[in-house]
Amino acid sequence: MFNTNNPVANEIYEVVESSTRAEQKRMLYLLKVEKTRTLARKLQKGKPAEKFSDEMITDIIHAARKAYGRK
Amino acid sequence: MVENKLVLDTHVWVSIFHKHREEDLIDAISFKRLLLISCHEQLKEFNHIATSKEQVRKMLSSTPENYLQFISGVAEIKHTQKRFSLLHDYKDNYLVDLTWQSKSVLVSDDVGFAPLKKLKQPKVEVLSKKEFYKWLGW
Repeated sequence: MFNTNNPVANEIYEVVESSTRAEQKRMLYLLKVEKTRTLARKLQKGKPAEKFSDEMITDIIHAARKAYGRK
Repeated sequence: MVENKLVLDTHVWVSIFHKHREEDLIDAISFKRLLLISCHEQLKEFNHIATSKEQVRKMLSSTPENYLQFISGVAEIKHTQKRFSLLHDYKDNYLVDLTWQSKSVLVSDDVGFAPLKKLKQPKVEVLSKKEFYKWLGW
C-alpha cells in the first residue's frame, strides 16, 4: 500500500491500485491525450492559407503519398 | 472494457487539422472511448508531405513539427512488424500491417484499400471518413 503526506497523491495511488491493468493503461493514455489539449488549442488559432474540401484533401494527399518513395 | 481502436489514414489527419477539429478529437477520445494508433512510418510520411508539398502546406496553419507532436500526443505509436503485400500500391501496406497488428479499424477514403473488404484473411475493416465523422457526430 502506497502512503505519502500528500492526500491527493494517496487517493490517486488508491485508484491506480484498485484498477485493473487495462483501466490503468487507459488512464495513462487519457493523461497523455489531455496533455495535448494546450497544443490543440494553439493549432486551432491559426488559419490555413486556402480552404479545401474533404474530397480535394483526399485526392491531394493520395497523390502526395504516391509520389513519396519508400526509403 | 471496450476501446474503439482506430488507425487514421494520413488524409484523415490532414482533414482534421484543416477543419481545426483537434480539440474535438481529444474530446471524442474520451466520449467514444477511442484509442488512436499510429506508427513511425506514418509520422515520417506526414512530415515528408507536409514539408515538401506546397498544396499540403496551404492546408495546414502550423508547422509539421506541431502536428507531429499532436499525433504523437493523441495516438499510441506502434512499430509495425509483419508486412502483407496485398495492395497494388506497396507504400499503403504499412497501414494494413498497422491496422491488422493492432486489431483496429482503418479510417480511409482511399480506393486503394477497397480490395481489403473482399479478403477474409487478414480481416481489416475499413471505415470511410464520412462514416467516421458521422459516428463522432461531427
